[in-house]
Amino acid sequence: MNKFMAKIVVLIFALVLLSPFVVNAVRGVMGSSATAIDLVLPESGECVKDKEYMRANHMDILKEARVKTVRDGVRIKDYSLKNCQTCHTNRDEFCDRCHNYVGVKPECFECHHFPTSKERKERCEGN
Amino acid sequence: MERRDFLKLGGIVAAAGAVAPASSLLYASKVESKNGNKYGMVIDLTKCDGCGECVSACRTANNVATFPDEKINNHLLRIAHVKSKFPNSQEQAIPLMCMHCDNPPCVHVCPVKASFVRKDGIVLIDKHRCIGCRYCMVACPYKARSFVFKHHEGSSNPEVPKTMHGVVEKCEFCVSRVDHGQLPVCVETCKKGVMSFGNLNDKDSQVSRLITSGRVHRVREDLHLGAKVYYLGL
Repeated sequence: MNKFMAKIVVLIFALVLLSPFVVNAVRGVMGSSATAIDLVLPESGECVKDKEYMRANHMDILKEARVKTVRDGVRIKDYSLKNCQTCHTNRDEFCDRCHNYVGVKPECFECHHFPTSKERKERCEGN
Repeated sequence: MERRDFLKLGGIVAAAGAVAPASSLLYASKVESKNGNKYGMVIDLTKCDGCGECVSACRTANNVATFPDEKINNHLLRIAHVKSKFPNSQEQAIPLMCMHCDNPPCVHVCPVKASFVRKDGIVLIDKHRCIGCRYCMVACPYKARSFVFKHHEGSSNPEVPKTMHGVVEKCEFCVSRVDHGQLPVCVETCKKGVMSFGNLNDKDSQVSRLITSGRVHRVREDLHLGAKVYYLGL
């Protein structure tokens, strides 16, 4: 009886240990959208550089443009944070959603004005 | 591979690494800012009555927050009311701001090189870099700099970034406006024409002509800091 109990305990332990793998495997088979994030893309679909490049390097572009702007006063409109807003009108549905997903906390928006969809709506109603 | 060959190869790789230029993402050719300009301001105190319109315009345009606690309210531009000790002397209003020195003590003391002088002579703070140590505030003889103590929501002028709490702020001659060919807000607001802003290197500019008239003074000229804000009738 003791041996039987030990077997059951080992089995339960193994199940608990493997449960995350099992759950993920089942999710994968079911085709769940656990990995995809729902971003609201602008209508025009054209950015200053191609999509893949921007996805990987937009932070470096912004950083370099920042240094050039602050230190040398060279203001190139294409690479400014202000220019992003012309197409990406809703910060919360595009920038924030992805930043939250990958777990980064850029501090750009603490000072630089980049309206969320809610703020934009409020302003439109105000006018 | 022999030891000798290995060392040779190592040398070549190191040399190549040293010679290879730092790659730039955006700027293929080195873009220079407008050279040869040196911005300055002349303030005609005989016209100023201290109405304070420039101060409020400055605060709105540069997202300077107003707190109920007067102690932590910052002023990029402020108006001092001065009265001399002679009998029957009248009170004089003097707009004071960052003097944008040629040889600024605030820049020398900054431990992280956040403060710097731009090529056109405007003294700036890289607020991304500032650690809020406030050495510059101690160093500045004009008390032109102030520390943002508290977080504030919203911005009165979304065109310009506001200053985060924990960072030093000061008058920047409205750089973004100047870069786009506009005048600083205080100059534009003043209807009495007290302030004039322009290129000191250009001999025909209004500021240069006022300075060469010989009646201008600077605040604390004895410090030899090369301030670029001049006063008429000081």
